[in-house]
Amino acid sequence: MTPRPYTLIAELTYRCPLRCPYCSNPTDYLAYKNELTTEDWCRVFGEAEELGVVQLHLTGGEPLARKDLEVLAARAREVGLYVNLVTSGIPLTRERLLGLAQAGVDHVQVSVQSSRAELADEIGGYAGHARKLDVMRWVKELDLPLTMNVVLHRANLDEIDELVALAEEVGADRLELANTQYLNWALSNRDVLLPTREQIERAAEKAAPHRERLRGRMDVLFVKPDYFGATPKACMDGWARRFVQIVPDGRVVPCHAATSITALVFENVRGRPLKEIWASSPALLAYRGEAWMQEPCRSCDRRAIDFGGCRCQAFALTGDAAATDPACHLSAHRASIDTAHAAADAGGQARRYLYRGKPPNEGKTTP
Amino acid sequence: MLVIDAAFVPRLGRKARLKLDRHANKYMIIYPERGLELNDAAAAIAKKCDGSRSVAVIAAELAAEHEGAPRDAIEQDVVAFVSMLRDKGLLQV
Repeated sequence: MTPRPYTLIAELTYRCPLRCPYCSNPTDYLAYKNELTTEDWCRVFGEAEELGVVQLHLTGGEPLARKDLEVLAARAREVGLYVNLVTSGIPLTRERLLGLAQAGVDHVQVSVQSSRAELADEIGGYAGHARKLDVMRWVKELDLPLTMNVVLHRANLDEIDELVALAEEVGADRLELANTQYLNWALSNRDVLLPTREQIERAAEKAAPHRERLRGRMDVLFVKPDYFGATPKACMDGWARRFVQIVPDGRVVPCHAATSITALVFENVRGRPLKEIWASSPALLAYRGEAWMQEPCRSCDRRAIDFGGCRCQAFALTGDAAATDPACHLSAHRASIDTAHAAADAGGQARRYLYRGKPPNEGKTTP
Repeated sequence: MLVIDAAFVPRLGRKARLKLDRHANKYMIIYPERGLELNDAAAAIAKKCDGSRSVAVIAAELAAEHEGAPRDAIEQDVVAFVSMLRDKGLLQV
């Protein structure tokens, strides 16, 4: 039976003023020039609602780069979707934010790179931290729910207390402390970003009491990295199961990194209704359910819990997208992750990020 | 922590939207990046969490709507449901 997707992740554009070294966009993001039109997206939002979607993430890249964002938010709200705006907050004025709230944005998620302005701007590759603080305050002044999202890695993982304090100060309703997932740009920067195992344990210990203390006022989420555990994460709650994602050029994918699996051909909403693509696209059927599984996944007790982990990570680290996720202790390739961790524990690489928006060799990590 | 008792007047927060899901024909509370599917009993309570009635009044109304249902047990259910909303940050405070 075809599963019901509850969430549509609409990547409106890959344009973005920030250049975060863990960006979830594809490393060939510059090739996505042919963005869907306003009319395309408006039609797709209706098709998504018919398919069962209730949550919409307007994201990117930076969704604010789309001049029609207000129209899109209004259309999404009109068909009954809960509209999450996932943004860097750059560039945004209070007037535009008010317009977006009036158009129908239900919730705003703002990314923050660090509690310290100087480091935040270095990580983001853009002097935007001060403005982000303004944006978060505006969100609360307009009485919109606010999530402050921080992607955690070696350079900011020791800031848990300061990040919680910042989230409290701006009045966030949710704080996502999400460890980097090493795909796309983050995989390119893995040796610089990967923290020590001790850092992760300490950060988790620091986050737990804040979560208890703030229960009911602020939802504090600390997402442990899959590299750290013995079993893989239930990536996207299973391939093409609960989440449907559309990339800027209109192709329907199951997640942020799926286009990195080079053998898969994803169908485009320009050519076919979303419902048909969801039900029968060979790329979405490829890893939906359990039929694709090999050993040790095929006979594993956890196969309905973690779905074999992340297909994109399996492909990136083993060359076989149907392999067990190397984050699993049962994977024959687990050593590739343990080796990376050991290198991080031994001191890691100097903080020289490979930024998007720069030629491949400039800023490249050197030993 | 907010105490949920008979006198407490619950109201769904700004971030929560109560919605009839036309696909499953069940009510849901949708909030940032999450959704909560409600059974019929929970939906009946949620619809009354609009800032105009106390927990005791909600329980009395539900008892009246369902003849023979014990009011005390219903009040316990309302307290439990509203406490869950509180823990998820879905109440206006």
